[in-house]
Amino acid sequence: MAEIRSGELTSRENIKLMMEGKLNPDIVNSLRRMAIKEEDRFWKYVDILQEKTGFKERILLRLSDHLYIVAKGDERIVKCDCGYEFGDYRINWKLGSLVRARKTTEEMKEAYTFLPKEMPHPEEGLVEIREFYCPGCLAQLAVELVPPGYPVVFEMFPDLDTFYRDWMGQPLPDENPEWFQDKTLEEISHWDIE
Amino acid sequence: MGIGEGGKTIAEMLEERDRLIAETGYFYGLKELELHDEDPAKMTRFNWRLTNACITAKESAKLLSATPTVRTFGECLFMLLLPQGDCITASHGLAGHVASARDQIAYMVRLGYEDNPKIREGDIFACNSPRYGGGHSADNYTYVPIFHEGELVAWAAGINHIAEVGSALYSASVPIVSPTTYTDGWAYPPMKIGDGFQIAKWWNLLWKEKTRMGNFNILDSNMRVAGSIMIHETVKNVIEEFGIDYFRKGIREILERERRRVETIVRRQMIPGIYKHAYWRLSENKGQVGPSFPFADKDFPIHTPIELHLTGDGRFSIDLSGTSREDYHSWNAPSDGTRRLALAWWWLPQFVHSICINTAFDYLIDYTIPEGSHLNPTNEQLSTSIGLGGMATLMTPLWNICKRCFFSRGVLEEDWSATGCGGLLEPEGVLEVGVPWSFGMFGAAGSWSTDAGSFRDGLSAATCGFNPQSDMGEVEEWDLYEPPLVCLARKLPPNLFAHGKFRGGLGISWVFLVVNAGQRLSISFGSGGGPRIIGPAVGMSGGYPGGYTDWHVIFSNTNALELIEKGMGYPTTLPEIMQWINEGKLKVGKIQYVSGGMPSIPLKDGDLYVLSSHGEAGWGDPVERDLSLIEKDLNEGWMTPGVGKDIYGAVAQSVDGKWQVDKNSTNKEREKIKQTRREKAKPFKEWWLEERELVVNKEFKEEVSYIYQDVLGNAKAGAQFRGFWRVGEDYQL
Amino acid sequence: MMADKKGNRLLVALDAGGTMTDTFLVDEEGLFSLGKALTNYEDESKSFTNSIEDACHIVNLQPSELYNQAFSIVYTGTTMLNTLLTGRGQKVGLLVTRGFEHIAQMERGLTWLSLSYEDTLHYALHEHTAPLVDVNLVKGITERIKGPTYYVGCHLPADAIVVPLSEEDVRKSTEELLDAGVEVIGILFLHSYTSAVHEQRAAEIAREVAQQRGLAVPVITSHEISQVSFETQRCKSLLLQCYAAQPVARQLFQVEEAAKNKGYRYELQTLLSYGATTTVHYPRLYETVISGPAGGLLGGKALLGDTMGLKNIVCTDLGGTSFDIGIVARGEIPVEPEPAFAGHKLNLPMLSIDSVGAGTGCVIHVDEQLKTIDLGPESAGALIGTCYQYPDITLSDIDVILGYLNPDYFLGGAIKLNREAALKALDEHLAKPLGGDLYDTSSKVIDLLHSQLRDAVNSRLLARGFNPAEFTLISYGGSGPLHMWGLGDGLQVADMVTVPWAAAFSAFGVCTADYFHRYEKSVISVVPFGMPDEYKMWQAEPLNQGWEELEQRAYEELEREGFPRDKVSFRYFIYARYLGQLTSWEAPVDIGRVKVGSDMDNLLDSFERTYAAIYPLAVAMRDIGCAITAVGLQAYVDRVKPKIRKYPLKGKVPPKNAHKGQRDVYHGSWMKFDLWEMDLLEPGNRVEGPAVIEHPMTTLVVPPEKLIELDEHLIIWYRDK
Repeated sequence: MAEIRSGELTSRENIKLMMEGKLNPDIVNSLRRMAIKEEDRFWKYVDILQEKTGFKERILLRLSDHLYIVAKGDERIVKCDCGYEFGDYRINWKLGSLVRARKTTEEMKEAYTFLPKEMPHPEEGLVEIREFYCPGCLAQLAVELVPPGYPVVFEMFPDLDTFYRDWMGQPLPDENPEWFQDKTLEEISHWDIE
Repeated sequence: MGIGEGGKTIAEMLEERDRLIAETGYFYGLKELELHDEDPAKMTRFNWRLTNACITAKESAKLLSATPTVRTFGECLFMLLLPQGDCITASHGLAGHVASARDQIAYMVRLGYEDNPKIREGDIFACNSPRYGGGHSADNYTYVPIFHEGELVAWAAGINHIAEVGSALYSASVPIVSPTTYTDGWAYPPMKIGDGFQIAKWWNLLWKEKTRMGNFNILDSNMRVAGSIMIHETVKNVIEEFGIDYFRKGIREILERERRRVETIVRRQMIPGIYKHAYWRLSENKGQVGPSFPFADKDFPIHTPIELHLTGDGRFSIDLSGTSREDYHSWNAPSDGTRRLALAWWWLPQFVHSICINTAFDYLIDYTIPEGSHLNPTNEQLSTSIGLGGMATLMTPLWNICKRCFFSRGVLEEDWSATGCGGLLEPEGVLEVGVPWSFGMFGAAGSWSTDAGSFRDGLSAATCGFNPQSDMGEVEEWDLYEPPLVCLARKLPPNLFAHGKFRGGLGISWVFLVVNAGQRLSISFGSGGGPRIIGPAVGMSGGYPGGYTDWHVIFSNTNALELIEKGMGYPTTLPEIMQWINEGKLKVGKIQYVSGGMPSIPLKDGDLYVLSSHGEAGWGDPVERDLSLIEKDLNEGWMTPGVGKDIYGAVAQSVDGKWQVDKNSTNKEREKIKQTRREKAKPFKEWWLEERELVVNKEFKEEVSYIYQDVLGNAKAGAQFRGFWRVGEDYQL
Repeated sequence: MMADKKGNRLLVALDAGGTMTDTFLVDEEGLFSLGKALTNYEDESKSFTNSIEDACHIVNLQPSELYNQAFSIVYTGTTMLNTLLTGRGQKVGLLVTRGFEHIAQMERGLTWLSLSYEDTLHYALHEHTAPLVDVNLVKGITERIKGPTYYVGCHLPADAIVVPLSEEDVRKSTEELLDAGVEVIGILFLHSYTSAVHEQRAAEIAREVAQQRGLAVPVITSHEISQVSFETQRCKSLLLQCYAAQPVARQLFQVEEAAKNKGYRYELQTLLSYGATTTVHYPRLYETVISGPAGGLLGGKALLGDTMGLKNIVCTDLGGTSFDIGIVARGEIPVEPEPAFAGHKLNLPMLSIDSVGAGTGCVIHVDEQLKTIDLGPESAGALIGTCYQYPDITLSDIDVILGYLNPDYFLGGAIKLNREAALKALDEHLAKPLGGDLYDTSSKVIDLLHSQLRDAVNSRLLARGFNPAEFTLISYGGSGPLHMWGLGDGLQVADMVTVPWAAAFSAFGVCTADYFHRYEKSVISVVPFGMPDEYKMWQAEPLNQGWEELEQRAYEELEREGFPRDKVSFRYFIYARYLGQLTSWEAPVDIGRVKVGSDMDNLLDSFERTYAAIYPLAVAMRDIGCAITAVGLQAYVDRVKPKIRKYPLKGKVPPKNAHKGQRDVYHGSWMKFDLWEMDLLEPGNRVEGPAVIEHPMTTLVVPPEKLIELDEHLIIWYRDK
């Protein structure tokens, strides 16, 4: 640890190794000990991700292992690294996914091995496990544990314009207050319920 | 003429602080940090002296304590406060309490304590009531004012979690079943308990009268006072060294500097936006409270949906619209201190890694909580015995919101979170010879396993979410205090984690055997999670959620003692117990399964009791887990091959006693899992249409319906619900 | 200093540290010499002989003469720590009470051990120390002993067997461990400190199984290692012994062999963590952990306590990475019963030493935006700073640029420091970001270090209820004399001293250690207020039994080391607490047996005296009742210790040749400091500040308002003008 210079500590190579779980644990701890992280971490990260995904579109933000918000034409969409596109990022991407709800205690137990098989919990009707898959690659993208009838949770809705302009000092070219309007309910309101 | 700076009253100084913050956005209006700019090294030195005073007080005072919770588990904290109550710096320990002391001082000031009973040099004050800023009555606070030439310039404060609070219904420090404030036990508003640096005699008598473990509680009270007086002495020396003007100004600058530090960290690691999560639990009073409390004789589902808006100016705005109503259970959070304390458990581990833990970050947080909800109750007769618990459960979602942001920013190294919240095993009884006993066993609370991160598995028995210096204690020590409960095992049974590309840390399981129970023995368990459900603890990126809190299985009327006598040994995990039962070896009369907090349950000789924490949350899709990690888990016994195949698609073979995972067959198996996903899943809209039928037809269990009644009764949350299911404005339950 | 004398009998002590191995060599008349060599981790016998030769060289003694004339060599090594850090210990198998197989993985959840204050608050840094045993080599054994209870007499007795030992389990598991090729087997059963019958029987069986296979695999039980409760700590102690004792013994034997080959005629001795010497053939070598810092504490006690008659001493050791503080109070050195070592919490009595992560090698962190400065926790170690081979700025860089440290006389000139490089780095990374003058800002950073050191000393004293004004502080370690001026600035101690051999002071201390063994055993004896005498006698039984058992053990072990019973003397102690408390305090007692009820009161009086001394604010609480939780004893045999020589006093004025000129030093402002050569100063001399006194191994700074005086024992008294 003593030999690491702070410049090298946060090198692009180190960040990449850390993402892959291959960075020496002592160096990871040195990164943790930086009370205030280096200013350009985000740019390094996006650069690595751009290379990793091979996306032609600019990555605006990584949401999870597989999902990204990318700038596509004049749209900002959620896209899986398999290439599947979920559409406008202002609509909870789960609306575009495949969903499996485990409703019976037995089904829930299949996924929850830390609970004794004999235990009558989690209780049917009190909770359910919802798994959301990518229609493109069938990767499991998110899991919810909620009571039946619970509206699907929109976990993260970033304020991209504010982030890029005020926090990163590099405004996005297509700034518009409309980008920070949740369109999930609006989308549902168009669905045919008959 | 007030006792504050320049003859001001503390009430005036409180008003001044709030006005300056509101006007300028800086703590105390400190746009410039003059002392820092002038001589940063001197300022750092000043700061260190004060922090060191608190650490020294804790390290020496804690040895005086009676409760294992303090000595072994470190469940105490010493603080230095502004005259208005803001924490400037603190020791290690129960860090969250930096946020609640401020509110208690504010209560004293607003209640006019400056005039009556007056605040003078040498006075000692104490408080534990959540109605006046306390967390729960187990957490007892002591305050010693620090004067300089007649002016109140700071407070020294100590707090610890005591062994027993004298609740009406059963012995415990965290009485989970308490319907009203009158059954909560010994909860007291801020009071002057001594002067001339001495505790009044009546104070000790009260502890003996009001609690079951009076002697323990008196020793703890001595400890808090001794530590506070130590801080008092050191601070006097610091004032002498640096001068009173430097001191007054310096302590405010520390707060503003830390506020800026945290703001910078937030801007470097987070992303502005809106984040949502849900949390709920059950409070199980049905059949517990007896006919005296018919209004409380039911199970209460308590729901707390959280919407956090991180704004462009770096503020956290927390909206809890739709939160469950207040009711006759123990989870009501009646004051700002109670709520802020629990929030501090969230932000301290995430943003404060400096030599100062203090209240600075609190100034970056606003919250909106509907009036009349359990987190903002209006009925003063309700129990508050686990007041801090309601907000505390928000830790898990809030930690994960941070983690989500850190991941999006590329700050992966800060990926810490935990979903477990171990509770307290609280046995009591009367031994054969007629000696009564009771105890609070913190071992299960003392160390949690942690969630998986984006590049590593969670750790087992790693840390405790609300105490950075946590400790599970030693079985040889716990044995000393609970003679009839012989601990047969404390280990990490296989498969006890939530799955993911990276898996959560393993749950910790204890097995107890009852030996010579005596005249009477019962156990209860105080916990942050509720019965009958597994709390919704967040899994990330497709990893499965872990379980919040603990589970218990009680085996009554067993032949365990006979088996032991016959030399057949004893089982050490739940799977082993079940196997022994299936093999016909172990005979059991009755099995009780309980999840989360557990009301009082009587035990007899030969009964077996399994206490286990849940497994922790995973990260990522399990079928993407690296084969070498799976092999390692199999070979070290953390996972069984069956689970490896079912969840991870890993096809393993034992070669010379070592498990090897075959790559090709695993790939095939994983393809099969994906096919199963395709078969079992539906396109979202299709699923939504089906699910909507349930909602339209109101096919909900009573408990779920209770939750949605409050959601629908709230304008914002109701609109969300109705809009999502398109059920119309008049939809009610 | 030692004259060139042949034929004198010599005492030799060596203290091997992470970087250097120091030698202290002294003859019967108290004349001494120092030596240094780089520590050789692979073969410590090399650094051992090199360091000794260095000391010989200085006084023109042939090494062969030294080995011939030495009648005692004490050596403290680094193998224990190094074995842990490199993970190169033995392959251990562990038999443990069934149900506790993951004890080494869970390690009580103490993932914050050894972390600094900031790091403890930073949960992401909490990680387990790598276990010393593979989880597959831990086997559960069916058995359970009840253990004591707080409600004495109201439940089963402490040695009650709840689950009988399964001998079949032991046999089968031992076979499995041997199949797996373990090199040593440890046995840990719950509550074995109360009743060892299960551990003993299991060990017999395991040894039998190994023997049948013709394998010389040692079997070690936890009660042989420690008879104190807390299973995780006892397990850690057991694992340390299993994992590292063999490598430690191997190194120590190698050193012994090297010494014997060169003519040394006795057994090599080493130092135990509680400050005793013993031969390297001692059965529990894991007790040699962190004996290094213990040396200085013993030295302080020998020099100032035994020689000068002082009762209250603070011993401070400032090095590159840490500042160690030990206290001698009322003539005694307190013992810490549950120390942490390299991330492992142990059941092991260890001289109480507090270590603060502050040293001259600490890296200086500057936050430009918040105008804050943090020191450490990283340290440049042997790379010193930007003035030598480390990439980041350190406090040593400041010592160089301000003129305190002579860049051309570091280790007597063996290492050249680059002042220009330090100037440039400090300007860029410290002065510019903070917007201040380079020298002024730098000197304030030094103030920070000093403030930390002072707080550390003060808080250690105050936390134990001591008044600093009753203590004399001795400063040593390579950087001790260099920063003594700052440490003392505002510290309310009675006196401050250092010595010319400050840089090898720990080795000197090792030389002064007593030869003894320490034993303790957990018991539970409860004495409520007003207990009748006959009940007291009943409660005294476990105490008497305990002492009897420990005495027998001491006699046997010391006999094996060549000391007959009549040469052994005992000092007794108890651990006691008020009922309900969980910490016990060690109190020395005059008796080793309770014969009448009032003897019990005497024991408790001793406890209360100790308690009241530590916590003057706490009211004595006899009416709550007391519990005695352990008994113990120290078994002593005589050992010759170095004489602290008395030199004839010369005049106050130092000899001319000791003066080396002047140097500019920034001390608040630039001023001329006189330069002196320490070894040329004579007893009785006085040097007035401003002055820098240089020695090949250390530097002593005397500010303008101070002076130093060398007394007849060569102790340097640091005083106001």
